[in-house]
Formats: sequence, structure tokens, C-alpha cells
Amino acid sequence: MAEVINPGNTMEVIPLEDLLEEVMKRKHQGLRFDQACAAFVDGNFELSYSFSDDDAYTFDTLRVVVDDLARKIPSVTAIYPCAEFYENEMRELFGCQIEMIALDYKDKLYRLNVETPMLPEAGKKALKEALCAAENSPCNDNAAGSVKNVSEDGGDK
Amino acid sequence: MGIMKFAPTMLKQLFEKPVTKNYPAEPINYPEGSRGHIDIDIQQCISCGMCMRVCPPGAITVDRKTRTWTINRFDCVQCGYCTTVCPKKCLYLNPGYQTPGPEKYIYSQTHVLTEAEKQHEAEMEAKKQAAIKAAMAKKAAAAAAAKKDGAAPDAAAKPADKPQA
Amino acid sequence: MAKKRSVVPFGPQHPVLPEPIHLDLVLEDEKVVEAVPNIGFIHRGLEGLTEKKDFRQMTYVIERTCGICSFGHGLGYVETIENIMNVEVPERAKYLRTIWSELARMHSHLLWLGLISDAFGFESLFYQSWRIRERVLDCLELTTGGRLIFSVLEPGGVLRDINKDQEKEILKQIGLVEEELKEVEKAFLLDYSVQTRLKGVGIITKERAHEIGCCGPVARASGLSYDMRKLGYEAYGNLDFEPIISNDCDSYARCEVRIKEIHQSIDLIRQAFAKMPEGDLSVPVKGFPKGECFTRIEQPRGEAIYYVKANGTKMLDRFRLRTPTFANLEGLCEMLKNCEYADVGILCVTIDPCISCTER
Repeated sequence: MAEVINPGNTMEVIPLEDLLEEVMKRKHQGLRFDQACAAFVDGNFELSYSFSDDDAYTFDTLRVVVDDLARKIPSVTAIYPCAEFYENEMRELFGCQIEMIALDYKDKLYRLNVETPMLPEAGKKALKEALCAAENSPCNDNAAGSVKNVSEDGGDK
Repeated sequence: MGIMKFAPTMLKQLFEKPVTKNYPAEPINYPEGSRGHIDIDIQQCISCGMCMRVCPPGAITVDRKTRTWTINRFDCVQCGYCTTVCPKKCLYLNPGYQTPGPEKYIYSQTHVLTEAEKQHEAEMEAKKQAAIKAAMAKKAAAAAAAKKDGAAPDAAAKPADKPQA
Repeated sequence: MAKKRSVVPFGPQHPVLPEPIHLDLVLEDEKVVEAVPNIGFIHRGLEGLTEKKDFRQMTYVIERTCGICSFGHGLGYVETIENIMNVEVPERAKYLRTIWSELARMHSHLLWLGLISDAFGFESLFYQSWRIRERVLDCLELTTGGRLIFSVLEPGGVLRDINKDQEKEILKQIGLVEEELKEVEKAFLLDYSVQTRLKGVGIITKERAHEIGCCGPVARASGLSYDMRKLGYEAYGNLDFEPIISNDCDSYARCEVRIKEIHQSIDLIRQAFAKMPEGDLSVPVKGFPKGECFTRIEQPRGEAIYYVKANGTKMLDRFRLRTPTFANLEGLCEMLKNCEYADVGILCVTIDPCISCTER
């Protein structure tokens, strides 16, 4: 009978500030980068970064909960270059503000005609508001309003 | 390492008969339980609509009023989920695939009532009508009792509306 | 004198590519300096369907992510749901799942052998590989009803059984597969012209394979003993096997690993039939899942990761599927660096790309 190696999965919730440090630690332990994914739960982004060991088959997940949707998330591609596809996908499907990705596809990894398709309607609205708030510009819900405002701004100038 | 390692296999092929079948001259033998297409034993169907609700691509529609079961064969993915949930087990996965065609092929079956069922239906309908009548009478009586001293002019109209609502 | 660089687009339509992937190749004369992959031609948003389909319907949806790895996807998903709901699957169902997933591995690897021989231009080897594959497909159709997509899984067990006659038929057929493969593998492993196309091409060293997170046969061909079946899911804990590794790190090693894995699968199926107990096929699963779980499965193409987040209603909050090709794309870029332009086609095939899975 073959030997079974199943140490089980672990998960650790960490604040966003510690992300790069923790990922760096995993890199020094010699773990492989397994996957990264995002989820939109209760108005927050939940980011999961998973690492595993080649011989011990551990599966170690770092969980970051981002409550401010417009918050800039550092990319881990400087530490693990192979994370580039995962991060591009997270940003494209959910609209997480990941910056400084090594190979940046500029939201063109998949050919989509909808922005952030995996976000529910409420999430899209919240993300838009958060982004506007971050840029200190007034947020307009409907397209007609924004067009009107633009023309007014143009007139003022 | 060597050269022409594959030559014996290829030469052997020259003297063997083809591996492929001469379809359609030679018919295909589907194994039992092959996922070809969904079929229904409509006389067993009770039009509960479970298959319609669970169908992942939404290929099945069930009309309770006309007792019609309809499947859009081009939407069906042959998962067989409807056959597992059907309470009467009247859905089957039959071998043999849907033939391709120029337009979407919709397959429909209507449950025809047998004599016994018709009688049963009629009995049920009569019972229902009787129950409604009884309820109306009861309501009318109650209303009449309530309005006895008031003697409202439109007392009869009110209870008549109730059962409909 | 500085060499002149040029950028050549490769794909999404190309004779060697079974599925659309686009590569921007930066060439220096005939040498590839850098390759930037570009996917996204067949993104369908299957993960997003969790909003519309309940968790039982999703079993059937997820199986249809891909035609070749369909059983693995279904298995990974139901395992994740079972882990969340703490369902213990009956022993017989575990063995049946193992047998089917090994048969799926066999047909996937035989398909790959056909594709690679097509890529290096050995047409008759391609015919022979696919002829052998047909035997496996017939076994699958006999037992599950589907040739590629089986739909025999449900949370809590399996829907169909393998009876004694079918067992005899499968054992007979895989015996024939073994015999025929032995004849065909001589061409893959010993033929001079095949070796000139595969040996020393597309090298990923062990260290690089670990660093860029390669998985499956690509990692094992680079000397990493990394096989998720070691986790002992389903009946793999009761079967005797060791991951097949090769230290050559090149395309030839990947071919060798896959051929040996077909033999290993045949052995595993025989072991599983010998040990399979009688018993129930499934246990009823009541209620809705609540919680989250990561599950890893060894698919024919490598390690696949499934993530489910459920909130206690019949709809799931999030389903995520990380496919082996998503991890191996990085390996492809690594291989393509400093390779000859003529080898690009073969190298694309050696990672066994499954773009439909990757984009979901």
C-alpha cells in the first residue's frame, strides 16, 4: 500500500499591509505558488493566495479581506513572477485594484464586453462609488447625468 | 535508438481490415445505457415540473394546464439529471443521438387522459365545486347573520365575491 | 553586430494547436527570445454561473467545462462539496470514481500522444494512438453512457455501477490497450526521427519548474515528485503506486512520463477492481453547504485546485477552478525562451494545453 501524505489545508487571515511580507516568508521557506483568487463576499473582496510544498504536500492559504473596494493592492509578482495570470484575472473579473503587475494585460486577458463580470450589481455600484471617492470626483449613477456634467464643466472652462 | 521502429506495425496494417466502421451502411451498436436522447413515458407523467426546474440548460418545459412535456433537443446536454429527480421515473435516457437538422427541433408530448383518469378528474372537479358551494353558502349564512340587524341593501353581493378572490 | 529582432504572432489559428492560444514570439533570427502568451478567446464565465444554477446543477455544468478533463472537474467539485458538508462517500463509490478517473487519464494521455505525433509530423503514429484510445472510450461508454462527458457523479456518491460483465470487458480491453501500446511506444521512445525532434528540446530544470509552479507531467518530467494522488483522496490511499518521474527535463521526458503513466493507470485499474468492495453507491445528502474549502485533485494534465465558498443557501457564493494549464502556461513561456522557431509548435503541445478549461 502506498504511503498517503495528507497534512490538510491551513488558512491564515492577515491584514493587507502584511501581505508582501508574508508572501516573502513563504518564498524563503521554498514554497511554490499554487493559486490566487478573489471573491466578493458581503461587500468585501476576499483574496486568497495559496502556497504548497513539493514534498510535504501542505496547502497554506493567506486570506486578505479588503473592505475598501478602491484600495490599492500590491502585486506579488515581484516575489512570485508566476502570479501574473492570477492577478490579471482577479483584476479583470472582480475589479480589485491590483497595481504593479509584472506582465500587465491592462484588463485584456480575456476578451470581455462587460466590465468586472463576476461582481454582482451591488458590488459594481459600490466599486464605482469607492473609486470616485478615492479620486475625489463626484460620482454619477446614470450616464445622462455624467454627460450633462461634462458639458457643463466644458462650458465653465 | 533505432530507425524504422514503426515499420513492422505499419506493414501489418496493410493486411488487416480497417479499424473504422463502414457507417452508415453498417449500423452502430450503442451499449445499454448510452446517453443518446431523453424520452418520456407520457402516460406516467403527472406534470409536476420537477424536470423543468432542475434542468441545467433549461431545455425542458412542462405545461400543467395542457399536460404537455416539451424538450428542446438542441439545448439538452444529456446529463440525465431529470431522470434521477423524476418522482414517477417516467423519463429515460435512450441510446441513439439526435439527428442534425437545419432548424431547432422541439419535441413535445401531451398526456392524454384515460377514461379512469377522466372520471377521477371529474370527481375531483365535482368535489371542488361542491366545496366552493359549501363555503359560499357558509359565508352567505355568516354574512346574513352578521347583517341581520343592519339589513344592508347589498348584503348578497359581498359573499359572492369572496370565493373568487 | 546587434541582431535584428522581430515579433511573430503565433496562433490562435495554427495547425498544431487544438485550441486557441495566441503567442507573441520575439525572434532573433531563428531563435525565440521571449514569448508572451495571450489567452481569452473562449472565456465563457462558467464560474459566474453559480449565480444562476444551484449547487447540484453546478455538478453537471462544471463537468462540461472541458471535453477531456470532464470527469476530473466533476470529481473535484463534488469532493469539495462533500468536504464542506462532511459527507462520507461509500467505499464502492470511491473505487468506482478511482476507476473512472484512471480511465479518463488513459484516454487523455493517449489523445496527447496522438497530438504530439501529429505535431512532429508522424501521421500514422497519430492514427495508431487514437485507435488505441478508442478502446478506452468504448469502456467508458459501456459503463457511464458517455464517451467523454459522463455525468455519473453526484454529491454523496455515484449514479451508475459497474457490474461483473462490464468489469470483465474493461479488464479485457485495457489488456489489449497495454499490448498495443507496447508496440506503439517503441516508436515514441526508440525511434531516431522522433528523438531528434524531442530530445533536448524545451528544457525546464527542476529548480525552475518549482519556482514557476509547474504541475502534473510537466513537473514530474523535470524531476519533481509531485502527484496529488498521494493525498489519498477517493481510493488512491488503498492502492499501491509511486509518482513517475524523469530527470531529463526535456520534451522526450514529458512523453516518457505520460506513456509510463498510462501503464500505471492500467495497473491502478486492475488493483482497484481487485479491491473493490460491494456496497451502496451513494449516501443521501440533505441540506445546503455552508463554509469554504480548497480541494486538490490530480488530473491527467496536472494538479487542479477547486475552491467553493457556500453561504448555506442553494446557490454558492463563489466557485473557483484553477486548472493545470493555467499553472503550466508559465512553464510554456520558460520553454519557449531560447528555443528554435521550428520547435514552437511541439513545445506548445508538450504542456498538453487545455485552453477551454483554463479560461472557463
